Amino acid sequence: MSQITDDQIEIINDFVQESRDMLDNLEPTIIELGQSCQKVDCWAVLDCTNEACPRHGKGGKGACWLDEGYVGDGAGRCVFAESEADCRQCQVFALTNGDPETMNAIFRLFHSMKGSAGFLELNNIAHVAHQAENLLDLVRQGKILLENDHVDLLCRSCDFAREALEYIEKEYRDDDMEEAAGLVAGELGEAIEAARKSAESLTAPSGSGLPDEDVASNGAEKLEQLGDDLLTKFIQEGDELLQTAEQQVLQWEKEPDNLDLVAELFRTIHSFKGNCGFAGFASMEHLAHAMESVLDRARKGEKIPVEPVCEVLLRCFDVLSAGVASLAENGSENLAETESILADLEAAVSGRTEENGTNRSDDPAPDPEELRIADILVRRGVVAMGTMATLMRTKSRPLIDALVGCEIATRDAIDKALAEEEAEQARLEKERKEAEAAEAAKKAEEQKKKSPPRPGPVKQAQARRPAPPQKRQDIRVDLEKLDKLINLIGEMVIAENMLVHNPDLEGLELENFAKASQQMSKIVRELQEMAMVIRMIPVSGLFRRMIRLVHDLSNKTGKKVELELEGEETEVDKTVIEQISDPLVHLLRNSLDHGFESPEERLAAGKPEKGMLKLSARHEEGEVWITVQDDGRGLDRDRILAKAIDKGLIEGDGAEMSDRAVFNLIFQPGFSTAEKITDISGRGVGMDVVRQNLEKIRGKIEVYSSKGEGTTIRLRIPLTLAIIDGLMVRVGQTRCILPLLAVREIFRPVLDNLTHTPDGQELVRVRENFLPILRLHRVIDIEPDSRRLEEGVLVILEHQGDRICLMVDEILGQQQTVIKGLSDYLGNVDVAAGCTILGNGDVCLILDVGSLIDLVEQGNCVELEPDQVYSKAG
Amino acid sequence: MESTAVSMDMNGIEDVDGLKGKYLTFHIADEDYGIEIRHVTEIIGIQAITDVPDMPAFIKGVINLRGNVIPVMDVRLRFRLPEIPYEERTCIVVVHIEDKTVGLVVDRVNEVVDIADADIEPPPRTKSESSQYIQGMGKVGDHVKILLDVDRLLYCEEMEKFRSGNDI
Repeated sequence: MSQITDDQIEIINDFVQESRDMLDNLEPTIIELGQSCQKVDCWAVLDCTNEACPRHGKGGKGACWLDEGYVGDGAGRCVFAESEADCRQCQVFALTNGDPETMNAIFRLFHSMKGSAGFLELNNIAHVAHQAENLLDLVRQGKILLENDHVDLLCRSCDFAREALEYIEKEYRDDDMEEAAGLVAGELGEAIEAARKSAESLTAPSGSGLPDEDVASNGAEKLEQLGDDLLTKFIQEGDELLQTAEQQVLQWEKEPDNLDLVAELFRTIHSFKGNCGFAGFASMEHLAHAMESVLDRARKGEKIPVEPVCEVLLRCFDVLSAGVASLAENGSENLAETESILADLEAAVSGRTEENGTNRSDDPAPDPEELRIADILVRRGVVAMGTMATLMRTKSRPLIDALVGCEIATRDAIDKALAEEEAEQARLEKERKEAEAAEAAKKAEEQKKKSPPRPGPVKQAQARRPAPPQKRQDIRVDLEKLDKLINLIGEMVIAENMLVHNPDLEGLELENFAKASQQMSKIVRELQEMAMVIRMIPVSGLFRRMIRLVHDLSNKTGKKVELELEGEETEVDKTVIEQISDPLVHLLRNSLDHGFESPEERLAAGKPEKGMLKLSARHEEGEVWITVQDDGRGLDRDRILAKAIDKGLIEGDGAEMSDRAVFNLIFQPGFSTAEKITDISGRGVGMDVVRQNLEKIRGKIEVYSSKGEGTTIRLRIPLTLAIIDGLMVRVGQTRCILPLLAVREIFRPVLDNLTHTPDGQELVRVRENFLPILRLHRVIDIEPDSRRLEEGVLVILEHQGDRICLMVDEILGQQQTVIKGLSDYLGNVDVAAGCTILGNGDVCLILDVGSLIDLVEQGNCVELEPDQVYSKAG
Repeated sequence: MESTAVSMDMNGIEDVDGLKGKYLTFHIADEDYGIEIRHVTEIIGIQAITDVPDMPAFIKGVINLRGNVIPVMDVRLRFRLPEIPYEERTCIVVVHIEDKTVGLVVDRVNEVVDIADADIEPPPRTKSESSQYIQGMGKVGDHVKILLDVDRLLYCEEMEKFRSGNDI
């Protein structure tokens, strides 16, 4: 690419963005595919009684369908199949070579990447994607067996693509990636060759036709493969694109000479086509392609009768919109009158040729029937789209004759395709009717019950079809703008507090003002909640990236591990996702490298050979808990202690330390108990990074472990990073905020319930329990109103199951609190989680309940007050 | 260039040159001190300081500076001078360095003076702690101003210890 325009940059950026999303999807799918492959014996799976079969009772080398089946040079002796297609549908095929649907999904993703990259002249990416596609195609057709190496290779292709995308983002071209591309593509090529050879006898794969056109069969089948999410996205985006395109066409009609406009329109349609292709909606893709071709000609400066073309284009949009709408409604693309529209489009464009008086002035309008046939043949993959388009313009005899005459396709192939299409149309029609009938029956039943339709039963009734996706509108917003908005809202909360609690208003009876301010507080509160939700994204993207990691690590370490994901839909703030990504990687690495035993050790210890690694996310106690749990060997208390003593991290022998304190030592900088450093982990830099990253988002990390049974590491992250509900308390002249979520009870103690332990820890009896008392005035070192417990107020705080009573002078009330950091300069202040600005402009500390409890546990602040009276000495 | 008004805009690189050789002088106990003006963003009167627990004594706490919470250091205590009650002439000099904003409590602010590099003597070669954050001794007429290195004034071992100590 010589000169790059802004438009191109925009397209490339879009491509990069889309490809990244695609890759995030691709990797887990590839690994899923690899995992779905099993080594099975055909005779065992099928319960085969054919004892004459050479594979019977002993299996054989290579795939059965290549050996006894019908694929390639298979002997064709298998009693369960009669054709190649049978072989490919056989369950042995699916079991050995991977789930066909997953395979198709991967294939489509690579194909679509290849397409976009090719369009943008990013040849290196396209090349790699093409090779990957080739490999997959061979696997899909059963020509070769899917092996573990192939999965790795495909993953590596993804890596390459990511790298290339990064480069493209900077340079807007991928020329310099040639070497890397050559490497990956070469390996893919070698793998293909090797696999082919090992598949013994095998005919060369037919090189004709794009393989995905076999896949692009009909909407209903497609839909099952598409996730609901993807479909919803497609519908939304499709709708938006069509609307944009429509506007652009209308504009074009007004300014026929504006080539920029045409180029824009072309791009819009191209995107739509791309989406259709990606989602597998062949007829829409076909129509969009035709539109695109016309626009391409216009874009390149050919004179085209703008008005009639625009008119037809608008009609095309109507058809496509209807198609998208029908997708949203019942999940099938049901395109009406595609053929006639295509004909009209052709006519409108060729109108130009007549006007220009070229030699084909008497070219008859194409026969609609022929167009239909052409459409079918293209969709069936008998003829490539480009060839067909050329042929339709240049042919001088009936279409089928022309095809056969030019040796583009055989008559048999054409007849077969047409027959298949008819059968399928009939089947679709039947299905549609059945679905309608089912729908009607269901509706009738629902009305009988007179209960509102609930999502559950609806889904069941439509067992084969996903529930119609809801229409949703998205816009992409610059994150910076969003942050500014959220900051502003934070400021507004402070300003609102200042206003409502203004000292000037004190002592005034303001009924109307009170009402108005209440109303405002409510709105501000809602606004805040909204702002928080805007930034939330599900953790699934992050979790799914871990699939690849675990796969690679398990290969590297030779430990067999199964990763289980839970609570992927849990939503957390975007910043949180960014901050916990590295810690998660560290934790998983550690787990794989140090946590799990080798398969032999596991078996010896009476555990299943395969380790269980569980990654889960959930909301709990106003926080998000992200847990990494393994069933490995667990943390070794003695070894950690020995190491800590060795490194001088603790004094004494550490015998009195709690397990929790010992386990927390692993987060010390430079701590590592691994005897040998592997290339995965063991340099002792990981765990303190984990903790640092978490501290940045005010998160906590907890370790639970029992020797021999495994380790659980929990990351606890505050749900919102900016605003909490606070309880304001006062001690002396100082005001502090307690997080309301941690407050359990507030009461004034009576003397009878107060006591203390021999070493001076004050206790209060609350019903059946004695809770330790912490005096806030000692923590922040100020003079309280009174040092006598019965004259103060006790607040029961709970954190991770531990409870303490905090003594304060007075409860001032509850308020929304905007958390501000306590300046990096001060570092992490132990008892304060942050601070906030009060209505009068004063700064007020937000206390950290966890640290307060730690203070009690460490036995700080134990000292009896001289003038305090207790009911009895403990 | 001498007549150019001192601009407080720290963003313009050109301005930094214009600010070179200018020092804000202030008074603590019996001495005059100076800090480079390019670090100073504003000077405010003393205001309510919220105490932060578990900090070295010279960190007085935090204040609200138009919606931003900034820590405040009492330079008197930093130099281990006896504490005196704040009065109306007590000022907070807000300095900004390496993305951190900190308020410095001083007894009173004097003026902005020009001190040419030639008039600055190197700091006394003593091992005393206070000499660590002295950038040089600036001569203005008959007076000597102790020029402070703001960076070192803010980043002392004690703070580092506190920061790492709190991590556990």
